[in-house]
Amino acid sequence: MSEDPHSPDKAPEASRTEPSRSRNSQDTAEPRALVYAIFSKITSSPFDTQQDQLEAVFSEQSAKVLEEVQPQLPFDVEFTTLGQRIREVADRNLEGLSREYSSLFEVGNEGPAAPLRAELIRVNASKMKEEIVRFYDFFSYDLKDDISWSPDHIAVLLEFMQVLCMKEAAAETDEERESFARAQLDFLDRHIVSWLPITITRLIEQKHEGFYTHVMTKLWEFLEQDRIWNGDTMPRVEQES
Amino acid sequence: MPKISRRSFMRGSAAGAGGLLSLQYCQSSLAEMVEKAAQPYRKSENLYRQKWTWDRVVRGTHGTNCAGTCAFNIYVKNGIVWREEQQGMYEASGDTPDYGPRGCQKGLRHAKYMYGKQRVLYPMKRIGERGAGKWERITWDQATREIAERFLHHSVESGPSTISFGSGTQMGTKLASAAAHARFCNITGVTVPEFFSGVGDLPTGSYITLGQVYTGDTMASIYKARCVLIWMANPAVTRIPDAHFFWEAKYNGTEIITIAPDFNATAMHSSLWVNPKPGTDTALAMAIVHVLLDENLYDEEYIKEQSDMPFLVRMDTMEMLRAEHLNILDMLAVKDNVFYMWDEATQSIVQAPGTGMSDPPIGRDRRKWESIALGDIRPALEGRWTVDTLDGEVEVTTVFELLKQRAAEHKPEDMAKICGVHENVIRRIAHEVAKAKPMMIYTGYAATKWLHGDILQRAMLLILSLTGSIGIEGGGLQFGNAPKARGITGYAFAGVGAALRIISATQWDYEHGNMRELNERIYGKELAKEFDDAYWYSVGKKYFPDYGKSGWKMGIFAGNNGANWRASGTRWRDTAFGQLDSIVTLTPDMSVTAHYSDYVLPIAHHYERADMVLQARTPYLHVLDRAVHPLGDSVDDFIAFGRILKAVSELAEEKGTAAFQDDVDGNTIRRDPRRYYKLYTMNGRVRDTREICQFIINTTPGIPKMSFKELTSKGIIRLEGSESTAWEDNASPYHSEIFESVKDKRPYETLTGRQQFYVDHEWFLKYDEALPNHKDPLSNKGFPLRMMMGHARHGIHSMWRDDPFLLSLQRGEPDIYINPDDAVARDVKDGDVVKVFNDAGRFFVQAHVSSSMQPGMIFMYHGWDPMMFRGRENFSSVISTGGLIKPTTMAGDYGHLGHQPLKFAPNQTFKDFTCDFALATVEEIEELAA
Ligand code: SF4
Repeated sequence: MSEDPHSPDKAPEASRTEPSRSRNSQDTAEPRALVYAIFSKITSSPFDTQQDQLEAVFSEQSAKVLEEVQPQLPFDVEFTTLGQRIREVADRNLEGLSREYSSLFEVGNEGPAAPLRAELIRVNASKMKEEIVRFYDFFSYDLKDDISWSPDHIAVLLEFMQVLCMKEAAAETDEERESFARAQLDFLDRHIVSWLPITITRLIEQKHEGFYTHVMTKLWEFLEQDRIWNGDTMPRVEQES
Repeated sequence: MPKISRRSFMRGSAAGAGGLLSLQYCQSSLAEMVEKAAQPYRKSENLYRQKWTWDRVVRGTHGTNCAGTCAFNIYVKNGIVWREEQQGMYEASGDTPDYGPRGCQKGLRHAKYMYGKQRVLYPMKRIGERGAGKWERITWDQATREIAERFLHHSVESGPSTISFGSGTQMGTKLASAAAHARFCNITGVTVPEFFSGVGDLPTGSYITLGQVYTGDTMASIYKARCVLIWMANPAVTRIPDAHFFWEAKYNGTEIITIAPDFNATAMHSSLWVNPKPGTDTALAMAIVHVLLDENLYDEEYIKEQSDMPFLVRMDTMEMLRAEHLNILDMLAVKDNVFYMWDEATQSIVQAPGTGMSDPPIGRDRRKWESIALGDIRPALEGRWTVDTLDGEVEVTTVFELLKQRAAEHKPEDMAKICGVHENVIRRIAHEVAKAKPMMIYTGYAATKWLHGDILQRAMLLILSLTGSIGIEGGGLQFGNAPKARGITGYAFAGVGAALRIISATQWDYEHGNMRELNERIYGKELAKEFDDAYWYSVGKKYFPDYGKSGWKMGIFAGNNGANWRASGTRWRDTAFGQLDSIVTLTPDMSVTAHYSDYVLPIAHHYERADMVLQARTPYLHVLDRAVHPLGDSVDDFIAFGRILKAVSELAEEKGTAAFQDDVDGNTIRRDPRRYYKLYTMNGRVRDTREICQFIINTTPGIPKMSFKELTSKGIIRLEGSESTAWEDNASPYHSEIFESVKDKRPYETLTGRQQFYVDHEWFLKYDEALPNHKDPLSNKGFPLRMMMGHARHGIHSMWRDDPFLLSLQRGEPDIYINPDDAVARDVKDGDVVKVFNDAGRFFVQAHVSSSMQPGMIFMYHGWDPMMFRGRENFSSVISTGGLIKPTTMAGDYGHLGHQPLKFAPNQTFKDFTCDFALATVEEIEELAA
């Protein structure tokens, strides 16, 4: 019987190079998850969020959580001004927030001015959406029916990152931790940072200086740092040819 | 932050972060998600090792009026439609090729398009000036409440007739949605300016001649024809799933002749391409008629029995001889529907069989009892006789004799100078059509959009009649058809009676857009006055209703992009539409109509609704099953209008709004807004379009009886009575009475009970249109180029026109085809931006220089939304025809001629204008960009 070159048994050996920084999932994953969770909720549509949840997100408490979590992150991002902005919003009528959100991100003559759905920005949208769904299926992240049509919405993408971080935090073996960490890096790279700058650029082009421009630029700052840190803390796996 | 283990995290994290860690979008809780075992992930390739499976495969189609209707399997996973694939289970009609496979590039793009940026996902409220494009999302509750306030106010204060309801051609094909629309309008009394005549699609010539507007068979009937004239149609582009029938017929020996001014995609596949100058087709048609008559190439027996050609006409008044002319009792009884022939057997006048019963449409029953069979009568076609009348002795002749005289005015050698087609070619066509039986004319809606499009259609029917080709399989005028879907009206009227207020959109726009003023400016005071006088005479005589007198306050547009397609659209936007107090648009996709609205409501797209589609080109009923939840906050039309009416009823209850009386065509209707919602849902019994579908299945003849669920499992179902390629079987939902007239000798639904070519209504006589007659199209003085338009390959009206992929197959933006010589004369090169202009307006577009155009014409595929143009002006700004209501189309008190919604009504004119183009200047482009 001839050997099948495609047999999994015959896969080339992989060699590993240690990461340049220590990951220490036990300490870093949960704070990062918390930041992802907060950004997911802030970038959710106020229209699709329950009033009590909305009040919980735009509250003194969540501003405080954000400020408290900042020093626990394994990299430097400043959240004080965002906390301050959240407090200001909490003091204001949330209706204004809905209006700002919807006119920027949800409605417009030629689609929203600054889309929060990757599909509206990326070129090969269908392929991209398929891979997002494959990610979700792979980690059994099952979307609710009313949002299932839009798995590429930034709030959903960030929530998925939150889940991966939490899974990393709760993982019991190095292998598990590495698996979730790699998924985070790939997902971040392939499905978030690949298009979000375009939305942020559009916001800046609009000369919009409201709450959400601050949120999005802060989110970008965080994502950039997180991505670098993810890369630095990931063991490099090189296939031997 | 403490170190966590699985268990400590589950206890502490949610409380620690104030619930911020809870998951908003996932069906599982965070704790469950963390607990779930996961496969090891190393790299993205891992994701692709898992087999991609579908959650479900759903039967569907596209509920648009592409006239195609193709069955698709819709593939769904995780609540998303990923792709569609053609179903291939179509059969044939007899020995013709089968109807499958069916599909087109637009349908195959839909799974992508439905997620595009043009999609309206949420109720939107305008927050800036109308048309400024500034919107905010609002809830359905807020939207319906605010719309209800306006709706109720206008209904009660000004009357429901001041609220217009614009439905679209695409809505007409979705049976349940159309039924829901009709019920909404019937209950509330809003005015329905119907789109069929509004877009110039009404086949007035067909109705005048046959008493029928729907004269289309299945596309397989083409295979049965021996000669097909494709005239003012471009099926290679517009009938993608069915165009194969033409080419298969050609290889089977059928002569396929395309008559079009441009070398279009259909012409290139034909046996012969004939290119008359734009707007001269009637000259060509009548020249063909001349050859047929001059060379005795007509079917004598057929025309004697089936047409009015043997009918006698008084030479003194040019009226047809009637009973009321012959004796005093009949005169007192106004017996104006008994006609006569000269019987060669008895050498006397005889009453034409089948005439003299009550007029259609009231007397439709006469079809059951009467016969046009000639029996022993041997009608003369030629001759002159003297008849004793109440006016003394009067000379009479036949319609046929007059027709010969009329044809003699259209000799090929003379008409060649007008239409630009060589006389030998004209004779060749005449000889082809004479020798081929059955012979068919396949025509499109372009034919009806000319001011004198009715005459062209009458001339086409004349050719068909002379060759004995009307009412036989493989013959006739193939135009379009609509099902006798009694279930739709049955549903609309169930429990409430019929109180629909339907008017031609042309008439509506004439009054509200002050189009007389436009006519004066473009076509001169004389024409404007003449048309206007005829209009008001007709309305004054109550031949046609005048719903315009109470004003127009609110417009509701559902599946209708009126601000795109209106003739003289810019003017209409300024003078009528833009003046409205309230504008509400319900749509799946953003459009220029939505852009100018106050509220835009999101509507489910094709794969997000349950409905059925019935179009006559195939003998199948197609299901549109709901593959996925409607995206965002969108809902189907039934739900949307239910929500509006619920809000209206609640508001009326709160305000204590009393019922009011509403006069509809002289009938007093009691309208009670508090009960609207209950009536709409039949006291809550109807909750879903599936139930409406079932109602329609149960009550529409020709649709096999089954449950809607069963239909969704099958996808398509063959209609009853569809063995023939022609709709000749009574059991079918389309059956055409014309076949009964030919086979069973039942009278036609015309005044004469015949194919009526001679119309002796005083206006027809006055305008020299008693018989078909070439008339030059109108022009804009000083503008030399005639602009032609047609349906596009890459869109169905404005739907899919903006799809990025489909745009990539074109030029990426709207373009206009121009002849190279015309381009050179204006220093324009291919790809330049040109300004197309006349005295009505202008628009900017990319020049597409093509030798497929003849000099003196420019051509633009239609449907491009103004939103896609620089300056938001599209072709409608130069279409100056918005006020051209032809007087004879408002004739009344003449048998079958009079107000017949969707049959006889003023048809909008779109073609009678000319324009010019020039290279756009840098300043102009900069100005538009700014
Ligand atoms: S758009 Fe019409 S012709 Fe095209 S695939 Fe759909 S149903 Fe068929």
